[in-house]
Amino acid sequence: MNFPLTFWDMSLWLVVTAIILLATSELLSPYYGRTGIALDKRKLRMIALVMGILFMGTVVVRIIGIITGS
Amino acid sequence: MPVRPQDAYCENCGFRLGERTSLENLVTNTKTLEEENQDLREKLRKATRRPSRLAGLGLSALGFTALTISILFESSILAFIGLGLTFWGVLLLFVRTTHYVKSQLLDATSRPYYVAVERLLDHLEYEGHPVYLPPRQLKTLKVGTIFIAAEKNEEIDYYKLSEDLQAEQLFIQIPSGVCLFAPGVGLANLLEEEIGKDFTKESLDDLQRDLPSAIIEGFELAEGVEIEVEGEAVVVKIMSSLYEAFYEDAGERLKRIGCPLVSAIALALTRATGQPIFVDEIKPEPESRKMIVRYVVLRGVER
Repeated sequence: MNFPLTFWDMSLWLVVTAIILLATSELLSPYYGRTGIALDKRKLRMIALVMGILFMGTVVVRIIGIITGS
Repeated sequence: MPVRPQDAYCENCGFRLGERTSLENLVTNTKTLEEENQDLREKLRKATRRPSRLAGLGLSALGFTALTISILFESSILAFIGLGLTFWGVLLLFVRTTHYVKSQLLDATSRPYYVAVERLLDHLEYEGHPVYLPPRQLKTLKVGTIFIAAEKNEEIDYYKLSEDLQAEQLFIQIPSGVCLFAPGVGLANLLEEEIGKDFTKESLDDLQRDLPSAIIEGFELAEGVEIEVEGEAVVVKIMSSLYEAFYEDAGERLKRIGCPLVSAIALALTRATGQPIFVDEIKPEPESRKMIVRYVVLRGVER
């Protein structure tokens, strides 16, 4: 009974989520049409950036791993 | 001789006791109906409220279930699905917008101000064009004043007037006119907060850059705003303004005061330039949902 995702799987998930969130925060607006779900665009964008930074963190870990040869 | 119940009168209120009983019944019925009305309102509110919370809880529950199953069966696909669902569920629960109101409220809540102004001006028989005066004192920096002269074609030095004007002064004798609170002052102050700078410290170029983004992205009051300087005039094109319904039945005088958005832009311009400003022309184009507003700067002494 182990968690089936590896560190690199999580890295992939982070980047995909960050891209989706960034695109959503750009397209989303309660002004256009009648929306059922209201979200704060700024907070969404901030979360997208945090996800992006986390992904970059995993990239840095990868780079350090390559440099140190592990 | 015994008094029949229907012939008995109350000593205090004078009602026939039979009538009072029916009145009491009416009061009881009314209270019951009011309670029912409240219950129905509550049900309606629950039925029409935004489903963000419900969707958030549902997605989170599904996500957690998928994650648990993925751990049990060591399925990476289920883990991805679970992570995604949990993430979006939590997002919907915690990233809900705090202030979300229907745009019709904007027009409905600002309308009484304009009706009151129109009645006041009709009563006073003042015919001058509304002119936005720049703030001259520290305590009037966050206040917006519109001066409306009594006569239409009177020669007035608005710049000197703005310097002589006392805070909270309502009527002015020379030149004869009235000072009104601008309808867009609240919005103008909010725009300043959004931009993070006082308009008095900004130039026209700064306004051209900062104001559209604050209106479009900050408050989503319009789909597009373009500011162009043409000599002494500043032409502002507003696309799909939330206040466009205001101009459908507004008179010429109210148009020149402008909806709260047009008024806020006028205040921004008058604060930035330090000069009196008036709305020269408003051309609403309902077909393209565009509105062209022409402000004229009444140059006095340069700052």
